[in-house]
Amino acid sequence: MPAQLEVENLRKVYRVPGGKRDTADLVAVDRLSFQVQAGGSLAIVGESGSGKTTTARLIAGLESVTSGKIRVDGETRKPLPWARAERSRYARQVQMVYQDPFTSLDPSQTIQACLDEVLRCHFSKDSKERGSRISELLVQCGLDDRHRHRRPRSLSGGERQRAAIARALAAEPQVLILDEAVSALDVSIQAQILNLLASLRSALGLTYLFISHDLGVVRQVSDECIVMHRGAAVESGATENVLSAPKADYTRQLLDAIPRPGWAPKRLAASPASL
Amino acid sequence: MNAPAGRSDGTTAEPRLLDLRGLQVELKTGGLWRTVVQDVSLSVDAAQAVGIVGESGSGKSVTARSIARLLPRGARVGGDVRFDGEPVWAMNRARLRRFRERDLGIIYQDPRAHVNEMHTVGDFVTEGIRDQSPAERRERAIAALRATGIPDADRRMRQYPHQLSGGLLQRVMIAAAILPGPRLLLADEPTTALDVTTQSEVMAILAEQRQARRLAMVFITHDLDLAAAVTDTIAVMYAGTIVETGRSATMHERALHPYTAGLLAARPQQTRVASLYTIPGRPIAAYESGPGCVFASRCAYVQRRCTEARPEPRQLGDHVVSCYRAEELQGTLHRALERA
Repeated sequence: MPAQLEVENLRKVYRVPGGKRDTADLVAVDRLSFQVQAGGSLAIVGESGSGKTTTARLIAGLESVTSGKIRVDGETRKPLPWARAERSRYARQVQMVYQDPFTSLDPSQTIQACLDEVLRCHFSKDSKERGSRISELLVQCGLDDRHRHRRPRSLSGGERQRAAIARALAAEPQVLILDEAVSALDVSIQAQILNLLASLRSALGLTYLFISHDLGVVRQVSDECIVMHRGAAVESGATENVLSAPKADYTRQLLDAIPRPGWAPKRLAASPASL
Repeated sequence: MNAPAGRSDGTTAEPRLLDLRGLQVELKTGGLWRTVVQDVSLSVDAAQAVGIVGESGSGKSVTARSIARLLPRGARVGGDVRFDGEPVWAMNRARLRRFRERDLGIIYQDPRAHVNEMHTVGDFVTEGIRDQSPAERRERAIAALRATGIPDADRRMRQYPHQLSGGLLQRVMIAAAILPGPRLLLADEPTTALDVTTQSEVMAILAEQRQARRLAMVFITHDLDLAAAVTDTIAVMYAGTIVETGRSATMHERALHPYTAGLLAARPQQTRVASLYTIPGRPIAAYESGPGCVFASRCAYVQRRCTEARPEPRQLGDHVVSCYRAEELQGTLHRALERA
């Protein structure tokens, strides 16, 4: 059986203005390969500039790949730009939830209109069927019919992120990419959303690609993880093993930097020049 | 004195370095006056670090801003803020200016929003020191930049903010804040926007500098683990109120307020995976709280009296807690934390 999501030798190079002479190449993602089985959860961990978000955007088709292959459900994705039919089909396979639902939800649209738009786009359902599907999605994400006519502005941070998850689920995707989806939330709300994500995965058999800088959160939501640093994977494996017995120096550095009882902040032995 | 601020009457001869008594702040939003901080009492001694921990809307930043009198124009402020015995809200313009320049160093979450992009790093760092020759100012600035772990300080002095990374710019902020020789540092989420490894470095530098200069600090953060590691005392705020104050080192084992315990249990653990404990509902603001305990609407241990009258802060061991049931819940909360 093919992996639900497979990435092979993925590479993304941006052209950036390079000082006095024309341009230079910035390698954002370099030779990255991984697989996630159906129903699995893979986390990509890294700090700013590690290439984790670029990887997510490449898989979602928001950026074009420089080289390498992305396969979903055994099918290799075509290079951008996608024709309308492909875009629609790919969107049914992979959906994304972003860090800030404020900027990813349309501020002028009610939650009902937002979900209805996705349903009309992907399914041939009459308005009654769509209505009951919307109720179902809301309940699944811990909201209810009272939230239907609300706009993002009048929801709390946690409710907005629930609405963003409901919108992603409306397309009935196989793979959900969660790009720092709980990073901006208060701790007490973050716990609620993490529990919601865990129950959705087991109830719907979803496959997660979880992008995060927070190792505590990663342990909570993923079976396997990849640690990225400056565009490349420095370590990968079962999340439990990577986090409790890290092999790469960089992973150890990351783990050492997390505040916990008995922790004291430390200067790094050699400060990276890029600081 | 390291005991957390409670109802002490301040009868000691020496005034505390910073003393907040019954601080009350109302801000006008959408045409309505809204209470955002209610009855906050807290004190900080020389060289002491106090963490104010809370979620969004808890009033932690407003509390910090009222120390520097940096609230929006027209804010209604009640209670007392004293710096070294002097009421801050009664200072005249000249004194307030000198207080902010000399006695207080402020570090914000987003350094980019607080520097002038048109000025060089050198201009920015030397801004706070006036009474010396340009050459002396420059020398002191370079020394301060080096002390905050910036190796090529000479070159950095000539650069502009956009040429520096976030971690580097935050160190420049620290250098600028400590250079005039303040006695109190106000740090409002200084590392929240930084990567964890950079956060660790910046906090280590801050600790070194504080120790070398016997500098007191008010540290505002949403991160209880971070606050516990870098402060002596923690005040946990919820809905504009301090619900618990206690020693940072033992906050994890000895949390007495159900909200503190809930915050600790809600955080994903490094060692184990389990379904996370969740506090139902969302954080509320001070003006949404009823006559009772501010946490009553989300508390798992709520009783009738909790919704009727606000519990007064009281001393229990080395903590000060505002909860009617603190004694009887001690065991329950402790077991819940051990499970989490």
